[in-house]
Amino acid sequence: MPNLVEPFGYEFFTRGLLAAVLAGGLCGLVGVYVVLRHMSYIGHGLSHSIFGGAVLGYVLHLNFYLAASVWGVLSALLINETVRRRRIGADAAIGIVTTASFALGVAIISHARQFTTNFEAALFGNVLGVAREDLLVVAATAVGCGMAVFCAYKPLLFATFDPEVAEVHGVPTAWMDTLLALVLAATIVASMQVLGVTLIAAALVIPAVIARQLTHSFGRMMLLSTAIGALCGAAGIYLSYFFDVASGATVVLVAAGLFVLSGLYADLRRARRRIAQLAGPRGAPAPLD
Amino acid sequence: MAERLCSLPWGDDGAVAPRGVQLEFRGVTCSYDGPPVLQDITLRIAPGQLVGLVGPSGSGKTTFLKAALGLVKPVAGMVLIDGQPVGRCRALLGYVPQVETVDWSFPVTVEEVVLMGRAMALGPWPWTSRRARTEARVLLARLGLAGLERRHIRELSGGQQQRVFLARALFRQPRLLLLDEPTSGVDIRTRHEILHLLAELQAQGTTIVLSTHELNAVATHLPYLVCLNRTVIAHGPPSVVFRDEVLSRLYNAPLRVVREGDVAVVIDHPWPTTPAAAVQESPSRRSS
Repeated sequence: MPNLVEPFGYEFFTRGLLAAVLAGGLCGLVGVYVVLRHMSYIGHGLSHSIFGGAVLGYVLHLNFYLAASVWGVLSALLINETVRRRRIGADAAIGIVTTASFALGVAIISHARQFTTNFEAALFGNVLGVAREDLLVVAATAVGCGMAVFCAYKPLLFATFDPEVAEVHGVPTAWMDTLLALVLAATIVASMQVLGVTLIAAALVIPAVIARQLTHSFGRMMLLSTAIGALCGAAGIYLSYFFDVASGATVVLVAAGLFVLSGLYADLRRARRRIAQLAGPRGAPAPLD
Repeated sequence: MAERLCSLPWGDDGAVAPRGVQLEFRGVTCSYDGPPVLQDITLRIAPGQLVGLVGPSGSGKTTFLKAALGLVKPVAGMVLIDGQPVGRCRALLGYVPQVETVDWSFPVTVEEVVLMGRAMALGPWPWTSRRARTEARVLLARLGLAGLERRHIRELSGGQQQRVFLARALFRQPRLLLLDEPTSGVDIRTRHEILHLLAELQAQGTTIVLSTHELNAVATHLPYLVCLNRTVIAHGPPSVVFRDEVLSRLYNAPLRVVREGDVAVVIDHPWPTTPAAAVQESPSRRSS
């Protein structure tokens, strides 16, 4: 029988746990916009793109976060611009830009084999690799992105739901798109150490999809998705310790498990509502789904 | 039901209804990197007018509305609202898009949609003042949507959905209201309700422009029509523009107008006069 409180005795674990809760919550929050704007592919691509920048920064002896952030912001703006123009099939353009960037990272790693192990953490996430500095970066990013989303809540909602009418109503939609692209890039850079670039897309998407199944309100979806993301982060790190596997993988597997449960719950709730409606005419009319 | 919907969206509590504005197109040409969708449109819609835009699919009705909203920039000419470029007057505009363009799976409640109408005025943060929420509830009640505030937009009927988006536009108290096919996909009763409501808004002074492809069901009941097919083919009250030659030119198809008292009914001819004529028009069929 393993000692269930044992990991809390290690500083590296509590640090990793805190970082995972913050990164998971942050991904959950930002993921709402990623899902509702149908940007999952951009999230996936951007995380791969940032990996290339991080490796390049390592080779050039630059700070990891500085290199990844600059590369991430440039990639985000490039992708954002590509999507806005829409002429060159956006998905194809994103595929080219981000995969080429990822390939650059892989090429550099395979050429200079000595730092392969270090970058395994960046690819798949590693709770052991979370240093004090990493925790501070995740915390600062979570506060910054949270503030940005909070202070632009209504215009972001309107621009996400109905960008054209939002523009008529004076919402600076182009700025909102840029703000979201920057928030997404910052989220990915900050979460890279805990979740790993190959798994961040799932951490962004799954909590938001679960939250969507549980509520019809945008405000409640934001709160639920953040909470689910944080919960998956905590549970994932805890399991990662006991099963000795990459932390990003366990965080995503916990989220996927919750997704299955939430899907079953949503089906059950729908069935119960249908039965209640068939039983008597009182109450709300049937939802049109 | 119609009486309830026709009650004033604002005004009966002592508030003054906003005065309508003039919409003017001065030699406007619009295109999307190809041949012009609208060409040299010159038109003036007076304050407080209720105008219907009619024309076939692809005739530029939506582009006309988007140019009036400043969403499509003309390649030539200018759109003016009370003599000012449209970009400076957006606060005066209300827009109800086609319901087909709405993402019905998006997680928003009826109240959240209506509050978007003043997204920039109510402060950017997540909460909304009690006063604004009360105003939204009053408006919804006046549009016959009381008690539906917390419902998801998908759970409403077609007519209710249409009215929620009308409520969002009205929540801003617009002086020029533009609606893209507001009666498409709704039943006869809802169509009547929407038309009555628009007539009521017009009576209060709001300038209204709506597009429609329903000649008999909608256009014939509107006080003024603009027949649009890339250019303005004709404009005037239905009694003036509902003529065989105008409508046949507008639709590039033979159409006939039958008058029964004050009512004009448009009849189309889906088939040529004699079936033999159709066969003769096709050389391949003739050879076979």
